[in-house]
Amino acid sequence: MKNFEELIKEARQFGLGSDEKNSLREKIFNFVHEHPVRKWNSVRHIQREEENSSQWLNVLFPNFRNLIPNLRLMPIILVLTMLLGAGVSFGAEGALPGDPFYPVKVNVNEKVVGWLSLSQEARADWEARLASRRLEEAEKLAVDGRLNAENKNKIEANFDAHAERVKERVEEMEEKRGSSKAANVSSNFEVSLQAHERILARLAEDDGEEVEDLALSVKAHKDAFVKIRTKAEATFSAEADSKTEARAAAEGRLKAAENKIAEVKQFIVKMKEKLGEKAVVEAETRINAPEDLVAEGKLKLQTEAYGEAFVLFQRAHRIAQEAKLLIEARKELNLEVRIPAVRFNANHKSDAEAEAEIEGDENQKSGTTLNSSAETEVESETKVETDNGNIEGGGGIRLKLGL
Amino acid sequence: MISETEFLRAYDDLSDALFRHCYFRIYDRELSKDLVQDTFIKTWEYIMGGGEIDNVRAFLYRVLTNLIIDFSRKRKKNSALSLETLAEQGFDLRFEDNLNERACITAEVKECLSLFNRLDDKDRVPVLMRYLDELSPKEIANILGDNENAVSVRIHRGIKKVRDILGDSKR
Repeated sequence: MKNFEELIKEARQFGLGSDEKNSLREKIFNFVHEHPVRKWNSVRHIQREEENSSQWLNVLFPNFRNLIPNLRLMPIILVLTMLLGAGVSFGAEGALPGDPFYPVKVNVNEKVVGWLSLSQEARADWEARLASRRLEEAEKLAVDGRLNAENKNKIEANFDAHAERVKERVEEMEEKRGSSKAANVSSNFEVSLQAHERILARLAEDDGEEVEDLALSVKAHKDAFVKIRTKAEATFSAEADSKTEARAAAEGRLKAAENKIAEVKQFIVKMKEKLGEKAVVEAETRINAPEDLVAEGKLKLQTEAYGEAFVLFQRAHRIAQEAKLLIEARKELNLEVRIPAVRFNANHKSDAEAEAEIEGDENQKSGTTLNSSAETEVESETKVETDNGNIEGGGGIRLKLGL
Repeated sequence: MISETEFLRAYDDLSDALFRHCYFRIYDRELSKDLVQDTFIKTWEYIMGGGEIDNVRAFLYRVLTNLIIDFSRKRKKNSALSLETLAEQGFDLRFEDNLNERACITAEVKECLSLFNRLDDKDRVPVLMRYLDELSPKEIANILGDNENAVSVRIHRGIKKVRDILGDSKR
């Protein structure tokens, strides 16, 4: 007579036959694909078309674009219109500290968009965007010679607060196993900070103390985020405990990088007149590096090196994004910012290290505290535990990261 | 937010266990497959609507349990005889009928089914979840919406009865 344990063990063998399981899976698969979750990416396409047809809005409210740098937030503007009545709110968009409508910009417009951001990633990106907006304001004031100690301190305080919040959100995401999102957000923010740092450094040449202070502040945050981003990328590669997950994240980043590159190319075309020959050539050259990185990343995808592919696509995205931000600065501030050429480094040193080589800038080098070893091995094991504490299954991932 | 990939992976990992759990409660293979399918479909609808899920496994079990309860109520309503009364007498009409239709049920499984069938309804589910599905008492409490102590008591009671029954037949 068998005892209970043995019986139960047998009972656990009972289940679906593989035919049954597969045909059921197919039904569910079909349902899932007929009812996709509405992702922001797919909304992008619709919004690109909308953008073209609503050029008149850009004429009436030239600072429109600043509120919605991410096209994904476009529908929110429609909500804002209904809630607030177009005039005052949009007019406030161009306001700088000291202007009468500045409080509307900060306390109304920005808050509403914040409330409407739903996902953790969107909120983190929005905080990053707010940090960036504060710096843009400082830059505009500096160009006009209006940046004094008082408004600089206010701006810096706000900027610090937003940057800290981004940091907190990224850490949260990493804890909750959202390390690819953490990597995305910190990569985007890093780029933005890098671009602002350059712009402020350039402005400091003309204008002195206040600007320089701010530039140093931005640099400090940027350095911190380089570390954060690198760590998130490493965590992502180590953590993704299914190939499908890692692959999906890498492919997502590939799409983002390709979109960004296309965006920048379009932007260059648009800005041809304002930029002048030389700047256009420079910008177009700068796009080569990201394109090369994307090509290399695609090769990695084919060999299933998803962690490495992800890192490459991240870098491509960053370089393309920086190119765009610097061109924008040229347009907004009428400022020529010297852009060091990006050397496509086959050893995949960090952006900062590669540029330090070219600029020969000791300050830059000492600012980065990244590992000087070119490769890092990351090994992790995934274990599946039942609640009896028995280990039922396991898997291992070993990835070499050239950082 | 759960992606399609993660969701389908949950199916691959958990559909067997859910099916088994369902079968051990309603003793009908085809219906069990239907209910498992409905479980996943309802879960996906929830995700589509923007719902967040902390513990996918617990969530699926909860949906399935509710579907089984709904199903049982309908079944009771529709049948002329009260299955409950019959079950009390240690005889489940449905149980015997459907069991005979599949030759591929092993003797051990059949014995298990019969064992669990003899437990009180209230005890059977927690016992199944603990020993067949290997869920923790905390998870079971979560799924059933009961407190952990009550769940533990029932598991204990159920297992004791099972062992008694097995012990009995040894004599």
